[in-house]
Amino acid sequence: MNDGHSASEAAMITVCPQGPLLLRGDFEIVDAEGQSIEARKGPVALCRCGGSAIKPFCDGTHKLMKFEQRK
Amino acid sequence: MEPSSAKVAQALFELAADDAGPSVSKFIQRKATAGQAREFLILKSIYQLKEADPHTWAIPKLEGRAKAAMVEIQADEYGNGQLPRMHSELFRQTMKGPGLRDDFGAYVDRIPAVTLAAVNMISLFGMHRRLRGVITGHLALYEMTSSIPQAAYARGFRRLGYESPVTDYFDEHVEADAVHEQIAGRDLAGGLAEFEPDLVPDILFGAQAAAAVDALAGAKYLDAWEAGRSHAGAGVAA
Repeated sequence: MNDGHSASEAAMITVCPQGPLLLRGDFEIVDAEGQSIEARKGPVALCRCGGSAIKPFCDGTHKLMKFEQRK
Repeated sequence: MEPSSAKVAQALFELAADDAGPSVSKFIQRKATAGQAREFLILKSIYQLKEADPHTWAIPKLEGRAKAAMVEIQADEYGNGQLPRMHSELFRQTMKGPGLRDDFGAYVDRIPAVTLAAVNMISLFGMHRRLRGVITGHLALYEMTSSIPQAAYARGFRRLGYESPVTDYFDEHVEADAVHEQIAGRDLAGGLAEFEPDLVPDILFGAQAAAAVDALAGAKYLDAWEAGRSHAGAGVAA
């Protein structure tokens, strides 16, 4: 949560089990050329399964792919 | 069930994956006529034009991690205070695409009872402190069954010739709800379960109730559309 203090603005990445990487705080996403990739305001989910149609962002496809669910 | 955040999130994700409700989204994506797509928007409008409001009632009824998670999700729903990004406002743009009225409740007399029941149920859950577990489970299920259908709706409306800003609502939800389902599962529902373990059955009930009632509504729409009938009253879908 952003309460206006620098400590809470540091980027934090949460690895979601069987799901995406959740980004919060201050961050910038750039492509291989260093060009900024526009992200939505607020927390962002980055694709970790490779199946998203809107990469680098997550679109929930990991659920269809049973990502990390195979025993 | 062990009331840990991870276990509760996993149980909710499994429940959402098992949700065998009729696929309105696949119908809209592949088959719906322009009239049926228009009718689909009318049916959705009774919730989407006030999207997020009934879940917001739960905020003062929660504490700690669950409250923070609910605020994080709801702030996003309200466009972080920016009117054009507010989800209900995005849906207003979608309604305007096929020339529909965008004032809340304009079509209420044409909405079938089962659809009204689904919406009233959220208000019931949101308004009572004793149902705080139920409302969090309801929101979690909603978020967990959203991003993939929303992508199908977006494709359906593009197939029918619509583009931005009509499709913005669906596109925004593909991305937003892929975020929200993670927060809703672990921090909101899971956070509440760790704080109040006795509420785990309520959390699961809320999720099951959301799935059950929406499946009833979806079955009614699909029956009518597959049979070539309208569901929001004669003339609306024409």
